[in-house]
Formats: sequence, structure tokens, C-alpha cells
Amino acid sequence: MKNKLIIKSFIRRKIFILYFILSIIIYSTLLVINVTLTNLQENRKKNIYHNSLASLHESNDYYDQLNSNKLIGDVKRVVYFDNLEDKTGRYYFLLDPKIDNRVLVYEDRSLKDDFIDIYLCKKDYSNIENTPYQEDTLSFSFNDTEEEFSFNINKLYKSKHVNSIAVSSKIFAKLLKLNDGYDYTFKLYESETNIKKNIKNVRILTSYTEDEMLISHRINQYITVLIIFDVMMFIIFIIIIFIISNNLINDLNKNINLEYLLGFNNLQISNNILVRLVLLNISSIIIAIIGSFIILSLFKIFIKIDYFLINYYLLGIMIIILIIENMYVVIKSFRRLR
Amino acid sequence: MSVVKLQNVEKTYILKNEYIPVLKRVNAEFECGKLYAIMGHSGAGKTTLINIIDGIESFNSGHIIINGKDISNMTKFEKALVRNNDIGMIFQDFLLDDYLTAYENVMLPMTINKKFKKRAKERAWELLKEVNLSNRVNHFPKELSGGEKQRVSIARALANDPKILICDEPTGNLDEKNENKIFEILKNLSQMGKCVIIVSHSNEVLKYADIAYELKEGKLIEK
Ligand SMILES: Nc1ncnc2c1ncn2[C@@H]1O[C@H](COP(=O)(O)OP(=O)(O)OP(=O)(O)O)[C@@H](O)[C@H]1O
Ligand SMILES: [Mg+2]
Repeated sequence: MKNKLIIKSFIRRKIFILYFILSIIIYSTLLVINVTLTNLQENRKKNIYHNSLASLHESNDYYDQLNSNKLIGDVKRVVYFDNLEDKTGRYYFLLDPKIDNRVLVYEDRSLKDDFIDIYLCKKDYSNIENTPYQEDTLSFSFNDTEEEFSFNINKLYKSKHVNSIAVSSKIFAKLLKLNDGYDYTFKLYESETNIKKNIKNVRILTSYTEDEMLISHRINQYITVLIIFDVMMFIIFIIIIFIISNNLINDLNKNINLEYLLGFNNLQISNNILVRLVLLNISSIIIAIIGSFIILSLFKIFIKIDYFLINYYLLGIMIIILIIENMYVVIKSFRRLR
Repeated sequence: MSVVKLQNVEKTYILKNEYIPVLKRVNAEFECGKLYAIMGHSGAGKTTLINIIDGIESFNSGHIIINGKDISNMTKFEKALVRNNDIGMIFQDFLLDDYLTAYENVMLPMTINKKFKKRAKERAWELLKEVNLSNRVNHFPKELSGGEKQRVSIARALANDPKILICDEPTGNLDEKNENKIFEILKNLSQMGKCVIIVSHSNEVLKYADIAYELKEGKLIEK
């Protein structure tokens, strides 16, 4: 092979090995940071999703549009009771101030018609948990209708969100018909501000517990730190690439001159330069990718990493910088030729 | 028959409006089978002259005919081919690739020439044997003495079996003993039919030269 000696001479240099190891370290650090970042961001998204609830009231049915909206998930039709008649006085918290002192109603197909399930936050749950709630009867009604709906309580559940009840499909259908307009609740994949920009009239009911707020806050801090680190690494990456390029030019200068004297023509000389650079860059990128996968697999033992995605955006930028660098080396080396 | 012919070769460097005439209508012919010495004081233009013959440097007017080919109007690509094929070059500072072994260094010029490409390895071996280095083939330049390095570079200059060998101060970095060894090898090569041109400061070269020139005031004068 024509380039065999050129490659041999190139890879035997200490400086080549130094560059090689340096680039591998830089590339794999960038990749590892990036994958970690993606994971933290995805986890934060999940966290937001699990801890969020929003409601929407519309005079027209937007169920399908909401379902196809990528910013939100878990879209459910709901209705609200305005009044609650409760002889025990223990269930006042079902009328939630966050939803204008109304009772949030979901559908549960498994329920019998005269039973409801009740979903309560921790505090309210513990108040009811040890009472004989199966014996209680609750009656609900709307402001502008006479009709009363009475139920026995089937079961209590804990919920992170607004207190709510679930009724059978048949009752729920009846309530939908009585409802003035259309009501929905859904979970959020994005921050409140983004959702508010996207969906008019939306009401955010989200209630983070203090612990959850703390976790989210901490994750946010990690992400900020990692982004700063990522950017710094990137700047270092560019500086090192520049230093490497200039050293390469100096290092290759003697060889280029020698090749010229031995009768390599300019095409062959530039080809030789390219072969060297491609060898250096491509092989170090490939090794870095493999290396970062190994590092991440080891990480996986300690922290949760669900996404092994390589950020193609980052990889693309790295490759563009490398191409520019290589062109710089080729052009600058070539200028030194007589 | 002459393999290198210079006809009215002129070279003037221009530096910031300053004209430095180095070669003034130089005429000369160099033949196969002879060893030529080119002497001259420092700055006389010896390196310039042989760089022009090598096709490394351009010249202002005149003709240079190498092995029957006029290089005056050649493209860079054609000149590279002439350098690879017809001329072997030897330098004062050896110009070996430090990261290739002796025999890999000798192979290098053969990789771009069909002539010996297929048996480059064997030929490199043979050439190193000719310069008495069969026990140093796998050594890197830093493991070789100055004289040994210059012998490797002679072997490399012979790689594509050129008719012409051009040496710029080949013994400039060597002691007297090694100097004579190198001159002997070069003398031998000239007797085997090569056209050997040696630029040297050392009067030793006159012992070996068939014809000696002096480059003086831009002219080549036979001594
Ligand atoms: N690239 C250049 N630009 C301008 N002037 C040059 C250039 N190269 C050489 N010269 C000048 O041309 C003259 C001849 O230089 P050259 O290198 O040929 O001398 P030389 O005979 O080889 O000297 P030495 O024995 O010291 O090697 C010198 O005066 C030098 O300053
Ligand atoms: Mg000189």
C-alpha cells in the first residue's frame, strides 16, 4: 500500500500518541457528559410529568387536539360537582379551593353505579383512613340542577394531586351530558410557562411536595453545572484542537519537505496529509465512542441511565470543527511548499 | 553523452527592490560515468544552482535539460516525476525520516514509482548492502552514526536507479574518515555509470573529482 510507510512514520511519533490519547480523553469526556446531561434532563421531564396536573375548560370539545399535543400527556375528560352534602362533616376537603371549591370527578369503568373511589392527598388520606368510611354516604349536585347523586364509598386511594373522586362509566356519561362545556385534566412534559404559552385558558394545579421540589431543584442545579462544564469542555476542546493543529503543522513540515524532495507531487503530498489527519481523528472518535459507552456502562451500576443516546448535534459540531481543523492544517502545510 | 545540460541559466533573487544576481548565464554539461565537484565560497550560489537542477527552485531564463527532458517549461507535477525518477539527492543534514527504519527510508521513494514498487523491500535491502549497512537495516536514524545516516541517504538516492546523483555538502557534518568513505562510495557509483555532482567546501573532494568547477561571480569556471 502506498500510504503504509507514511502512516507508520506518523503513528510512531510520541506526539501522535499524545494527541491521540488527548483527543480520546476530550471526545469521551464530552460524550459522557452529554449522555449524563440528556439523562438528567429526561429524568427532570419525567419528574415534572409525574408531579404536575393542569385543568382546562372549553366551550368546544378539544379532546383530540389535546391528545395530539406533544407538551402534555394523560389527557382525561372530567366534570365537577358544585355541591357536597356530607352528614359527617369529614369530607369537606373534597371541595378544593384550587378548583373553585368544586369536586373533581373522573371516570372509572370498574366501579358500580352507586359507588365512588376517593383519591386524597397524604394528609387528608390519613384523616379518613381509620374511620368506618364504608358506611358513609355522600351526595353531590350541580348548582343549576335539582338532581342529586348519592354514593357509598368503595375505596380510598392516595394521590399526589388535587383531591378527586371516580364514578362509574354510566354515571360519568350522564354527568358529561349535564356539564356545561368541556373539562379536561392532563399532565405536563414541559415547564408551566411553556404550557401557558401553548394552551390558552390552562390552569396549572400542580402541587409539588417539599421533597419533590427539593429534588427537582437539585436536578436543576446539576443540569446547570453540567451545562457550564460542557461548554467549558467544548471551549477547551477547540483550544486543544487548535494547539494540536499547529503542532501537527510544525511536525509534518519536515516530512512534507522530504516528500517534496523525494518527488511526491503536490496531490500525493496533500493526500498524505489527509490520510494522517483522518487516521488521527476518525480512529480517536471511534475509540472515544466505544470508550464512553464502556464508562457509561460502569456508571450504570451507580446511577440510573436509561438513555444511551449519543447527541448527534454534539457529534455533528465536533466533526465540523475537525473538518475545519483539517482543512486549516492542509492549507497551512501546503503554503510552506515551494 | 551529457545527462544534465545547462544553457544560459540565469537566476536573480529579488528582495524588497534589491536584486541579488546569483547565476549569470551559466553553461555546463555533466556526463554519466564522471564525478563532478563544484566548489565556491559561501554564498556563491552553489545550493541555488543545484536546487535549480533538482527542479526545486525556479530560474529566470535559460534551459536545463535533464536526461533529454527540458525542465524549463515543466509543470510542478512533471518536475516531481523527474525528481523521483532521474535524480537522486543527498543532503548535508541527511533528511531522513526519523520515524522510519533504514530500510523503510530507502523504500519511501520507490512507493510512488512503478519501477521497483513490487520488490521495494528486497531492493532496499540490496542497496543498504551496497553501502555496507546490511547489519543496520532495522535501525532508526537516531541509532545510526552520521556516516551511517549519510550512507542510508545514498542508498535512498539510488532507490529508483537514477542516472544523476546530486549531493549538497554530503560530508559537511562528517569527520574526515567518514568523509573519505562517502566520497569513495560516490566515486564508485560514478565509475559504475552514474553522473555524480558534488557540492563541497572540502578540498578532499578534488582527490575524487574527474572535473572540478568553481562557482564564482555567478559563473561556473572549470578549475
Ligand atoms: N530565497 C532567497 N531569497 C533571496 N536570496 C537568497 C535566497 N536564497 C539564497 N539567497 C542568496 O543567494 C546567494 C546564494 O545562496 P546559496 O545558498 O546558493 O549559497 P551557497 O553557495 O550554497 O552557500 P553555502 O556554501 O554557504 O551553502 C546568497 O547570497 C543568498 O543570500
Ligand atoms: Mg549551500
